[in-house]
Formats: sequence, structure tokens, C-alpha cells
Amino acid sequence: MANRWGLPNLGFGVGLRTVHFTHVLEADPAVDWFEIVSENFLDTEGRPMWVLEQLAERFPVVLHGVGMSVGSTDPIDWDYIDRLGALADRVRAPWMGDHVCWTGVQGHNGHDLYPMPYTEESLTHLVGRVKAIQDRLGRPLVLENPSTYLEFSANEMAEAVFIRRMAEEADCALLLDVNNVYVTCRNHGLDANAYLDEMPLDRVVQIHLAGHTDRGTHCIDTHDDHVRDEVWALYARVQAESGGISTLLEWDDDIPEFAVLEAELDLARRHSEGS
Amino acid sequence: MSDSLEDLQAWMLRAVSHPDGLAAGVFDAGGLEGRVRGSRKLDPAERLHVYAYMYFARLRDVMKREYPTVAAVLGDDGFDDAVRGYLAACPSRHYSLNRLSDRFPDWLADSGVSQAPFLVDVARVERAMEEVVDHPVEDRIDGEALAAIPPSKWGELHLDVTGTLRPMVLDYRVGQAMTAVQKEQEPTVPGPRTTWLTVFRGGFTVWRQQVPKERFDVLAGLAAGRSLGDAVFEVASADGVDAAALMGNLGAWFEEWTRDRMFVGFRLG
Repeated sequence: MANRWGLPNLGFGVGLRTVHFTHVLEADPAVDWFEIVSENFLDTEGRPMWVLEQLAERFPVVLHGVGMSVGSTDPIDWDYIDRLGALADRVRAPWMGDHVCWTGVQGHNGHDLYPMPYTEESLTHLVGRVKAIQDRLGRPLVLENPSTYLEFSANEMAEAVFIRRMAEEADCALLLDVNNVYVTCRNHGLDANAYLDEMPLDRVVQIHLAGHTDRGTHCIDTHDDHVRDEVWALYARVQAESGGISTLLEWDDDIPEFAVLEAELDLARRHSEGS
Repeated sequence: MSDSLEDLQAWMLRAVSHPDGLAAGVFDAGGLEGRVRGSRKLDPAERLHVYAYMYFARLRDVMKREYPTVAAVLGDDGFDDAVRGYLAACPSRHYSLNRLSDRFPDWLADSGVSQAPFLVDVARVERAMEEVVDHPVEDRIDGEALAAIPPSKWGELHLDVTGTLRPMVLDYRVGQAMTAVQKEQEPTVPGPRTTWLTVFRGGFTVWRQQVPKERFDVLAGLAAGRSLGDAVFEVASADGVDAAALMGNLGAWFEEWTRDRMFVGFRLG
């Protein structure tokens, strides 16, 4: 199943992290593409940009941000959006995106991916902002389902329904983080497969894989370990049903040698092939 | 409870970011009742606490990476207290975490934390070392062309100093404590003593150098656009300067500056 924008299946990639800068430039990494955290490159012309520009000559580089705050009730930061668009052009990014969340309000940035209340009011608000940003950038946004640790009493619909409706009404693309699906469903006592049932796979242009921490009472999306078996199962289902979607491994804490990431990508390839 | 979207967002951020912790934040924001659902294993406050914990832990970790010596001198509890005070006074208003602690050195100066005068100097240097990382990549000076300039013309030479140079006059010698922390040793706090220090980036290497006043002044003169002759003459003719010693040191200083890529261009006249 091709996505509705005809965006390519980039294969299997990893998130670019500073500790691997030298390795990825000097070695021949066994990855198909890289994803960057947009904000780490928006305001630098130093080594990070120097590395990124060299890498972008050899690999597709996708922008994935944590600072758009698309769900916030604060005014949209158009300077930030324009910088993002310029960076995407500079590295010829196939696509760019962020999360279905808000990160701050009333001028105060909490630098976290805070959950939206899943109400008609916030859906209308979010859809309007996604459309406005897409119009400015001239391309679809690719928005990711976040890991969430609480549910608002005001919620009027399930998260998966909210995200599906947002994607349909704003005509945006989705980044399906299957680890986040697992973490969120564990935290809220939901069925992860039922969550996936709601996802419009023709709008999913990228998948995230990562490890998480199970605290017993709840799970935290820590990105500090291998992908767990339960998450591999969700991933295999999505790849089988979709026919194959660009896959990206995130590892942000206790970051191992690059070879460990490459081995994890080999596992992803095998799960994609159904073996 | 039927908050508007803005009210609900403002409530949550106020609750999770309170410097005195979640309970104080929830009280200050207007209570928890009717806003958050519990799960089978966590009550509403415990679920909200996940975000409150992450708010502080994430920002504290960022600041600890940027100010390792300040953190080491204050110790874990002292640094945590300082970060809480700073975040309350200067909450982040920028999308980038790189800008989170811009105002930390100034805040420290008025904070009343122990060892504040020393820590302000340390924080200024640690902040400068962060800032220069993002400066644009600069050209290398043409060494062959520079070497071809006859000694008779050196006085007219204008050297372009790297835009990453941050010259600082400090009240304390910060180098020993910073080096100790780099080596994972216990830092000691020295007594006050005026110190001249330069932070700059040569290539991708960030340098921190404590230097003699005369060397600092010659470099500052060059950075201000003076010719080499004028910069050296100005320093050599200042009260108390041993001009002969200064001239004797110039060669070694230039060797180090060139090696460390302090200069990015030059012109004559």
C-alpha cells in the first residue's frame, strides 16, 4: 500500500546522535537513511551542521522536531516554522514533522510532549493549526502519536480516534511510533491492536521503533534499550498490513556503539519480512 | 470541571513546573479534582507526577551538561536547588534547549548561593564554551602567504581573529577547578585573583586558555582591528610592562595562536 502522497519507503534508518558523528562520517554505516531532531540543527553553523551537510550528500535525512508545539494555544511561532522549512530545503529532506502534542503555553516552554485533551474543541484547534503550518511550508506535516502518561477527564474520544480524525481533517501524514502505541496503551489499559485498527495506514509515511522502561505501574518511553518483543509484534503487523513503511530506530539515552543500532535494524528487517 | 483548552494547558504546565514540587504546583494551579483520570495502578496525582518529574529532570540534566563545574562545586542538592531557583526566575521561552540557560550566569550573580562570586566566573566560561560550538565554520588562514610576508611589513599586518574569541577578565582563576572536573576529580575553590582568559574555537576544538595580561591585551587589540604594530606598541608602552620581555614572548604566542587557529585571515596596510 503506497501512502497517498507517494512519499518513498526509505528503508531502515536511525536517529542521528552526536556521539556517532565521527563514526557515520568515517565508516560506511549499514543504514538507509537518518532522522535528525530538528531543533539541534536550527541554530547552529558549527560542527553539527558541518556533519549534517556531509551526511545529507550520502543519505536521505528526515526532520523530526520536538518544538513545534502544534497543539498549544499560544500563537504559532512562524519564525520557527520558517527556519524549519529552510533547514528541510537545505538538506533536501523528504519530509518533516513533529508530535501530536503541545510543549508550552503562555510563553513558557516545558520542553516535554504534553498530551492533548481529546475533545472536539482541541481537535478543531489542532486541525486549524496543522493546516496553517502545512500551507506555510507547502508540504504535508508528518505528525507522531506521543507516549502519554495521563488522560484528561475532559476526553471525549480515544487517542487513536483523535489522531485519525486529525489526519483526515487536516489532510496530514502520520508517523506511527509503535513503541508509543504500546506505552500509551499500557498506561491507559487499552488494547494496542485496537489502537492500530484506527490508524489510516495510507497516511502513515514513517514508523518509529524504540525501547521503553516498564516500571510495573506504568511504562516510560525512555529510548534507552532494545525494542521489546511486544513492540516488535505490533511493528510486524503494521509492516505486513501496509506492505512496508520507512522505519526509524530511536536510541537517546545510554546510547550504544553504532553496531548495536545496526544489529537492531537487522531485526527490524527480519520482522518486516515476517521471519 | 470544564476548562477551556488554554486553561487546561496553563493549569497542567503550572502544576508540573512548580519549583516547590507537584503538590505545591497543583495547589497553586487550582487543584486536581475533575481534571485527570486515574488508571488501574496510578491515581491522578501519580500520573501527573510523571510529567512533573520529567520537567525538572530533563532541564536539570541539560544544565548539568552545560555547567559541569558549577554543578560539581555546588554538589547534587545544591545544584538542584540552584536549577529550581533559576527555572522559577527564568522559565524557558525558546524552542531550543540550547537557550535554556542563557541567563544562568547573571542569575547566579544575584542568587546568594554559596561561592557565588567564583561560580559566576565559572558559569560565564562554561556558557562561552557552549556558545562558540555553534559559530559558523571559518576559513583557515593561508599559512604560506602569511609566512611570505617580510619582517619589515609585520607592523602593518592586520590579522582577522576568529569570531569565536571570547576574551574574559575574571576575578578568579577558574581553570584548575574546571580541569579537575574534566578529570572527574574534586574541584577546589581558589581565593580571588584577577585572571585573563580566552575562550575560542579552532576548527572544531574549543579552547580555554588562561593567559598573561600582556598576551591578552595584544590579542584584544588585534581583535579590535589594530595592526600588529599598533597592538604591540600599545601594550609595550603601558605602565609596568617589560617591553623587552613582551617582544621576546611574541614569537611563541604567535606560534601557539597559529597552531590553535586563532587567526582566520589577514591583510596588509
